Amino acid sequence: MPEMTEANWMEIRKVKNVVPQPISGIINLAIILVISQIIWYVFFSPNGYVRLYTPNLGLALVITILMVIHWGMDVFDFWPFNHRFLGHTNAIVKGLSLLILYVLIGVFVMFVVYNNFIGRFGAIFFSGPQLLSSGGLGQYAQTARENASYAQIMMNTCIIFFTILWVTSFSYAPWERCSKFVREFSVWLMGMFLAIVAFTFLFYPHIAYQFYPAQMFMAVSPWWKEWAMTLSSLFHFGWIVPSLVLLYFTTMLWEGRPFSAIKNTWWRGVVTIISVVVAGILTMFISNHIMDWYFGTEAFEGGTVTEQPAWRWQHVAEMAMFVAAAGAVLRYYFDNWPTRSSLALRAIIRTIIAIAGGLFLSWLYYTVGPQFLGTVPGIGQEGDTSLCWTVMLLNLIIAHGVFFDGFPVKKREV
Amino acid sequence: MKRRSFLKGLTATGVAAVGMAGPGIGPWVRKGMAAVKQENIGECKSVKITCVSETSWFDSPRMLQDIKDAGGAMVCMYDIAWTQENIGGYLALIEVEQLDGTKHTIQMDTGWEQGWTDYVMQKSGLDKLLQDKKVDVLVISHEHEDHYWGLKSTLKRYPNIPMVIPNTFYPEGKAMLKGKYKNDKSKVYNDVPHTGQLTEVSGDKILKLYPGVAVKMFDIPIMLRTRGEECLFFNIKDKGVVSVTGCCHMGLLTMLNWAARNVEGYKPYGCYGGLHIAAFENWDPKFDDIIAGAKRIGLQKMGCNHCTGWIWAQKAKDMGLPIVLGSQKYKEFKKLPTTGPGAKENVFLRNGDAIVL
Repeated sequence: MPEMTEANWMEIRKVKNVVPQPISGIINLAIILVISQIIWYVFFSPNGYVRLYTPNLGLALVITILMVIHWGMDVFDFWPFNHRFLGHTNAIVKGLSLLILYVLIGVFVMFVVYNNFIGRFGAIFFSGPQLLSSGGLGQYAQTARENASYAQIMMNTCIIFFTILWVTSFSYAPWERCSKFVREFSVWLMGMFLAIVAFTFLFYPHIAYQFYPAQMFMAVSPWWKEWAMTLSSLFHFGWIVPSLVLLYFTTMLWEGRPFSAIKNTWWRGVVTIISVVVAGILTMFISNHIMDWYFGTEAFEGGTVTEQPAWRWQHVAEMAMFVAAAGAVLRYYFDNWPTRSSLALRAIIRTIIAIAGGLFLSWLYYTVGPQFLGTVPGIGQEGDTSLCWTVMLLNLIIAHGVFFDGFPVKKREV
Repeated sequence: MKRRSFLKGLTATGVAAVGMAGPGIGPWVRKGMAAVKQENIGECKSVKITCVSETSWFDSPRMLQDIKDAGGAMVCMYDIAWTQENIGGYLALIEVEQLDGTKHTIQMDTGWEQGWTDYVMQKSGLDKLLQDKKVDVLVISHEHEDHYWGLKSTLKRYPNIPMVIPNTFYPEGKAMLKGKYKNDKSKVYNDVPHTGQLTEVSGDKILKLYPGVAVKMFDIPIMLRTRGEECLFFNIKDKGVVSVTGCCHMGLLTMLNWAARNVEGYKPYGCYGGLHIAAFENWDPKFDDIIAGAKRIGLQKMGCNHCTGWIWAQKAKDMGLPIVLGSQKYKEFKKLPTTGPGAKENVFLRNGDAIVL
């Protein structure tokens, strides 16, 4: 079998600043905020044209696109584009080609694979149109679409998390000696397999209990109630997303550390998985106590708005994504400043910057969001979530930084 | 994780002092929710609530199709082309007897579709009460279309009726008060200005209307671009506190949690109104949480309707909550909703029903 000799594009690509920092970073950040505002207004805003922020439909779409971007960037090495195309094509042409392709694949996954294949021939709860056509109590136009979007959001989050978890933990093991296509496809399949298993245990009971009457012969009653104070599976969303953000930080801000220090692949994998999951769960519970202090009241079973446990767990994920977006800004626009001093120190400084940036972004979202995004002032609105905006922003930052090579203030070297 | 102190406290004592609010430097979001010095709202003798109309829409699928067609639940309600044949409205008439025997009459909300609102006002006798100025105050729970857009039906009979509204109305809602709003898309219209006393309630204060009667506004974001909802609390001597709500977007338990922390001598007794749970007969595991939480509180009477969702009310009754059953009076009305009549029990207080607390 051939050796794994060719490095991925993400490992060999280099970009340099055309304009010195921090002006370069500030310009690109301003550009992406303007672009995100235009895209939000046209496609998502309740005051705009397409109005995808229903909110679950819009959130499902941006998470699906993020999943496809990860497949392309972290698993398939930008297939079907080869390194020659990636290294020699004009940044705009390359960026548009990749972005359009991934968005189209995302739309295909959501509206064809979920809505018209899986939902039509298998698990109906993934398809709004199929739930609607089946009729029955509560399966009406708006609720059917929102419920199906919820199932897609949770499934896609599992896929993203377990795919990135495998890539970060094991890289292409145990298929590193296989051909490029086989090892990539194998990792993709492993991510899907783990995600389906996780979805079955963590989210499927919620799905079965979101109908009236509860589909008690299809799934157990949500078993996490005693810890979560709710039957809602947002409890699991609340630790998976912070765990995912921790994986992002490992790659983006910590240069692979601390897990890359473990040389044995399998030990590294096991330690990474356990550490990330435990850290995610701890983050969730600690965040809930911070919210107790911040809102001046505890969440409790049956509470609403900021006192609703399900919302609390969701809000942990929302805050984690604000931090992830801020981390991406630091990584892609400000060249991961600081780049000198010891790795441990610079990783700590970068993390502090990302957390502070995330808090600032959240303040911005909740303060000026009503003017710019068409949201209702306040926090904890039923069904509402900031994730639609933050995941869209994250998608745009990754696309801008990687697909477009940070154009116009950065330039590709390789 | 153990159960939180709120439920433990209420279960064990049934009184307010659960002492759960912590200190902190909370921001504006916390203002409407946080603990303040407990207020003595006094006591009254009894409360009678008549359901003038709880039918804000007659067909849930049609209502949801209208919302979906406009872009979903985050879209502004003034931008939705509502199917006019499907809409009704919510309004309730509340009669309070004081300890000294004097009585006060409160109207909660103003309905939605003009024809339906005029019809139910006439059927309940509210139209005459308004014309004779025998309604003491009009309390608008929130700006939602089905609670406020029928304003003209009230004002054309009693333009200077004293009004209490949340201080969070959007410009369209305020223009309606001035009799200067017309929207051809959402078909909302009012050309009768309100000329009476207007009280706007903020989230950080309690408005005491009469002994034992108070208005509390929760400054919360609500679907269809609405903000803030207020409810009425009645402290009935020897019984306890009764809440009356329009939609209760703040949540039944969150509302009672607030009362437990802020109303002196709080003892849970009853509730009436929409509880905004399974509003469109849809279900979510979170709704089971509310049943489990409500069972620990110890309410004696729960009169619910409107956006509570009859499937929640049915499940809650099956699980042992004291849901008060309605009568068959709603069948005497000229139009019936498509959901509910097939239920095994009449778990709603429907149009024409009354409850004495």
